[in-house]
Amino acid sequence: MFPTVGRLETLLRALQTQQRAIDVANHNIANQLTPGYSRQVAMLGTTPPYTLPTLSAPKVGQLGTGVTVMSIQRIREGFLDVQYRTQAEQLGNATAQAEVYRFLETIFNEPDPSGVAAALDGFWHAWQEVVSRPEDVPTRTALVESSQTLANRINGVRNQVAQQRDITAQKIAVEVERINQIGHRIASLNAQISGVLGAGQQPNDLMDARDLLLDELSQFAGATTVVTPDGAINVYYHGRALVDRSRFEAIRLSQDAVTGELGVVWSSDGTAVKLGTGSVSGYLEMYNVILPRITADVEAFRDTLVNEVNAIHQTGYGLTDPGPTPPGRDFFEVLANGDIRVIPALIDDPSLIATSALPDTPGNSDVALAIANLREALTMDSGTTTINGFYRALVARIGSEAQRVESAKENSTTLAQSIDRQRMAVSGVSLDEEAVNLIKYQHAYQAAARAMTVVDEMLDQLINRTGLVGR
Amino acid sequence: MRITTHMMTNTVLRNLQRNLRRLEHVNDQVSSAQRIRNLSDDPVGVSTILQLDSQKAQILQHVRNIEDAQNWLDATDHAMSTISEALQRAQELTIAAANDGTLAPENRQGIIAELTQILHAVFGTANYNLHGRYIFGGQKTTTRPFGGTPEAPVYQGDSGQLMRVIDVGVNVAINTPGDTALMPSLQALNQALQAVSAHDPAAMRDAIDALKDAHTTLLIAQSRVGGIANQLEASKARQESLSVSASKLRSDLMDVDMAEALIEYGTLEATTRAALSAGARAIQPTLFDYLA
Repeated sequence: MFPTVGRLETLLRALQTQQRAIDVANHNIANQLTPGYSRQVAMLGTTPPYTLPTLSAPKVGQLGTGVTVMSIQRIREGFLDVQYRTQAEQLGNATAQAEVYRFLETIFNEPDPSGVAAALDGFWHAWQEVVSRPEDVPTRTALVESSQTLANRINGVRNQVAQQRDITAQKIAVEVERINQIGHRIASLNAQISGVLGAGQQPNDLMDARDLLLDELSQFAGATTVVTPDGAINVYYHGRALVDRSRFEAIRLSQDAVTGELGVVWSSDGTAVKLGTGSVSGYLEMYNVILPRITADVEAFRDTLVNEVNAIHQTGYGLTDPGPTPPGRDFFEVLANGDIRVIPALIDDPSLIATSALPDTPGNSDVALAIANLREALTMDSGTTTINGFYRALVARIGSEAQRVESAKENSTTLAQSIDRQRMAVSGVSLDEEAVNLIKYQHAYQAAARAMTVVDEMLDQLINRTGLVGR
Repeated sequence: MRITTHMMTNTVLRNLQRNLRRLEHVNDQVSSAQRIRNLSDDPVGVSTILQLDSQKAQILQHVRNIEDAQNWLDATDHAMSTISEALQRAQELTIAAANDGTLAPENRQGIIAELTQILHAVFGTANYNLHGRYIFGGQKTTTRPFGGTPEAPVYQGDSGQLMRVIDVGVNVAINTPGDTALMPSLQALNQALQAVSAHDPAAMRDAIDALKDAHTTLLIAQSRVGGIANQLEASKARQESLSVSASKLRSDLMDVDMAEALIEYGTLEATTRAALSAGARAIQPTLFDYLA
């Protein structure tokens, strides 16, 4: 015989269950804007049924004992996370490189009157003027000015590229530190999650927090992830674990003593970490390969200019140089820090600039002409291009790389956003749904309360109004 | 697809951002009147523009060189014409002195005086200085080419050439060294002066021949100057037309087609406005707004 009090228990469970479901809806509404939040659903189920004891057939079967919350599940598609993270790796890589290229575009500010190309044209122009008026000191002074402008612009570009490389190194250091923090957090979340799961509960919010960290990690450096049976997520870089359950192994930045290249190594034994694609590898490529190549190109340009001009300049005579042999003066000099400048003696006395091929022949401008003709000389790339042409090619190369990286970034952004949209479609909170849930559970709650009144009245009837015969 | 509350607002924001980025880019182009604002806008275009800029600078340089050379040649031509007239007058005077054996002494003195004056004038012209440079001294432009006295001139210059670049790989010598072009004139004038002073008809006839030869030498040098001047004129016209076509090419690459850019600007503006007004409505009411 089903106990009457059991009926009250059933209804109490119903009231509690609807309250729990309303709590879940409230949690969803409260977290509709929380980054990484997945909507949660209260999974309702029936409680174990009660088999009515009976002495004879026919048996009426089992009687239900009400409802309970079986579990609170988060709604999330793991494969969308995997897809998103793959795109996030590409996006991180392209974003990092696009950022450095934007600075490079600003450094090589072409076409612009303040660029190196304009200064180079000004330099050749000034030599041509000297060819026309070699004996004129103001014309020589103008040449010194133009040459200094060119030297300053070349120094500026070279130093700014070097500076950009330093900034890139700092960014890598910050991101490696962030990877460590993320790894550390994931390890401790793993411990908590395994514990909660072990106790038979769903650590939904902790898992959301961990997924958000994995999203962030994939932007820095894509990793392989493996879910363990106890619910932890292990994070591997090329087979070696950054996070293994609750254990975390730190990584750090290291610099090759010989080549000066930067790399990421495991802190414990100093072996290289094979990071996946992401912003760290993007920055590393800029630091180790692309920026040094640009610097090398600028230096090749600088050295060719200096060496070619000096080689010719050494053969000439200034306005006051006596024969019979040329004084062998340089025009430019490369300083120890890699900057170039016009030889100070020439700045002080422009008449020392060697323009003449003969001593004591001020009108001879053969040497100046030979220097001015360097503009057309195929002096670079093993005699295939001019100094101007080399610089133009360098600028065009940076421009097209910047263009390529920028469009890769656009593509990855679009793809990542579209996958994120799909994730939001699955996991995002819909206020309409939650409103309906609230109404549903509220009505269920009201109905249970009403049913309880019925049981209450039944009991009242039985206890208070039964057995009054003869009273 | 399940549409959740913040998907629509996110989409609106993203599209607005994209429109505004384009709008900013076109705005930048229109307000600067330049099509290329960054290297990555058109890397090949930038390279071509740099080349055209360089080419234009070179063309302007050539034009400057040509104009400078033209001044020089004008001065040379002018000086030579002066000397040429002087030589003709000296010939006339010498012929007059040679033909008339009965020339009165005072008339002969007159001729001698005039010849002396011509000699001095020619000596001065041969030392012509253009803006601090002696034009007949070869490469020794800061030394007087003819030293000594008009009666005993000494050439102090050299026979070096002053080269000017008037086109890529085209150099021309613009100067006329005085030793070959002008020295014969000075010597012939001196010869005439001495012959007339000595009243020696045979010597005078030799002097007339010498004057004729010197004049021929001068005229040959002068016609060379004229030839170079013509070459420069042609070259200048060519450089100027090159400059125009380089400017046009650069403008095609670099300048914004205003009509096109403004139309694009208008379209983007309209799109942005539409997106904004759609965005204002994207934040849709939810069921909560209707529940009592």
